[in-house]
Amino acid sequence: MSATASRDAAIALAIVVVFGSVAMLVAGVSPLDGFAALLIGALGSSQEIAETLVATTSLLFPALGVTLAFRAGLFNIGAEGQLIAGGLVAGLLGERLAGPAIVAIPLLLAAGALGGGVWGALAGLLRARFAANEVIATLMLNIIAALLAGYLIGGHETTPLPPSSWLPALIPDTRLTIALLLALALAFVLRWVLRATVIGYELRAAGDAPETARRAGIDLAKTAFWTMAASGAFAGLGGATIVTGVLHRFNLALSPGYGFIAIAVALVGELDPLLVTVAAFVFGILQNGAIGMQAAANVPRDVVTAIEGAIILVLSGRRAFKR
Amino acid sequence: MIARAAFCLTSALVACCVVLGGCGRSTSQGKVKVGMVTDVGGLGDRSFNDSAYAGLVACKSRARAQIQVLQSKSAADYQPNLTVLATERFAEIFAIGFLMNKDLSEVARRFGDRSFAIVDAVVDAPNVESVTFKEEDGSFLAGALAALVTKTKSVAFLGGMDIPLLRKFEAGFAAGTREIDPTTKVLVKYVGSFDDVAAGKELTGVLYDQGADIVYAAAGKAGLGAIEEAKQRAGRYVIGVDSNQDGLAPGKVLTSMVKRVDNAVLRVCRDAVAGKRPSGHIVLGLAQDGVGLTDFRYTKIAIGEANIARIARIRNAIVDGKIVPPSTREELERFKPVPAP
Repeated sequence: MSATASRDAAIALAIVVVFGSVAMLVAGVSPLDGFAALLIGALGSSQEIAETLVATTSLLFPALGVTLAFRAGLFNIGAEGQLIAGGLVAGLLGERLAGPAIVAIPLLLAAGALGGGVWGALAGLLRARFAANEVIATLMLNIIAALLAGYLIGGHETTPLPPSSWLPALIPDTRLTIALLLALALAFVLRWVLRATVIGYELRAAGDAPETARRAGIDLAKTAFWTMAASGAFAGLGGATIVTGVLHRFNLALSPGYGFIAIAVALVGELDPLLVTVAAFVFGILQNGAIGMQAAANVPRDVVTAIEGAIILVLSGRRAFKR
Repeated sequence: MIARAAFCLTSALVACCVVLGGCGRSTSQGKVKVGMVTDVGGLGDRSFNDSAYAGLVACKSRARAQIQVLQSKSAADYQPNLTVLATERFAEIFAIGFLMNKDLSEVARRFGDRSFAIVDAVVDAPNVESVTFKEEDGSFLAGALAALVTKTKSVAFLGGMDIPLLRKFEAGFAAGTREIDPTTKVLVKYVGSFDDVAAGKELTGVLYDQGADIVYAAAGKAGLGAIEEAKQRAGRYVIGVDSNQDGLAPGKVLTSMVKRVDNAVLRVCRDAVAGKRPSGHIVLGLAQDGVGLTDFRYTKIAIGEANIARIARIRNAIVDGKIVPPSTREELERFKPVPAP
């Protein structure tokens, strides 16, 4: 497993370098200038590093959710919809809620996790009860989440949350909040659960050898349901941290596709929560560096979107063939 | 596992080498730098953002400004995009669209010595120039034209999102039809998005099926779907918005309610190049050529000379203040047609 996995990371890096260089040459920019601008844009100042970590955080939550699902043999491509569902619940509750931070913040984060969890559980239920393919179900639920959000808020965003509901900043005057610490802590917790608990063992067994697991008395349907719910809760929590920490309101355009990029993050991170964390940082650099690259070297940021798309395509394709 | 971590570190090192090796940033040739941040609609919407970009390009050629456009992929991008331009010492930074309203307030506060401008929203800060349009004026003309041309005595308004800005279009349009013929039916629908082209097309089909033969599509990129639908229907028209969309489906786009975002951007940009500081809030209406209808290049015959002359008279009546188009639904209810200009 680890041999193919390290190949995954190598392939991703090759795609970044080769695909990125070609795209930059097409855009009429020297790849050296382009990548330099990307790195300066991502890591050039404390402000930029903070923004890169904001992107890292927003990617890490759904990536951990996707990782969990993958480990149980489920391909959750619905993290985007689960993230929106979580953000939506946090945003709708947040605009009505005025209370002390110590109550409001945990409540909104829990509400977000619950929202994303319910959204994931819907796909889990379809899989557990009707053996519906979770890939199709989660993909469809993405669209429903986006449309439902538009319907429920009846505009493009909710009213801003009161400052008492904002996540405390880690670095003053940046958007980097304690959400990063929460995500890092969850990565460790997830690693521990997968490695050292019965639940984690059953989940991995269901993923690695479903037939054996079934014979050993593991309820596959139940495992699938709860895994999807937990996977969605991670993404939903991510959405809630964007609402409470980054935008301070729910906005229909709150995600540039974090839930999809999260698939690449999980695969590049070899489905190991700690490496996924490192991968999230690398993708955070790409994500935030794209802004600086566009400003300083005039490379359209769609180049980065294309790179991310290529990584998802190649890596998930490889996985599908391996199955 | 350790091997994996080592691999990640190595790739980070490779990345650093690239930085150290090729640290060459593009140099500005002493020109004034003017930047613009698009909303999530982005360039290529053939509408609002493209119009703003046209203004920026005009500023480049006429005022010799160095220009830069940053596109936004999500709402979380607005602040970093604006911040990057502010830290890169751009002389004037445009936030295109009301979606960036709150983010611009925040960035303008942090960068008090930079100059900003926002289109379609009012940000109350000394270093921000706010540009808004009297969309109700131009929409009133669109409504009057629709009521003159309709054969089914039924026309429709298709908005992007049900928000105050779009209600200015809706109220002006409905009042314009009333000015010509109070019995003309006005159907109203909202797409719920400015970029969902498929939904724009589908809803336009619904409006046509309900009997409207002219749809005024004020829905940004989603409006392109309305034009697509009109192409497939005989005897049905659409009225475009923001940019001149008449040529997208010659003969099917009756006219476009043009919002001269380009003129507004050019004007503010030239002021910035000349070293002027922001001067508060500019409102552009028919009189300032901020809004208006196109020249009916492909639809002159369908509309007819007499109707075109009548629209011109109504336009003058608005400019002279004899007609005051409503900008909200409440004002629309109170609106009384002014007899026969």
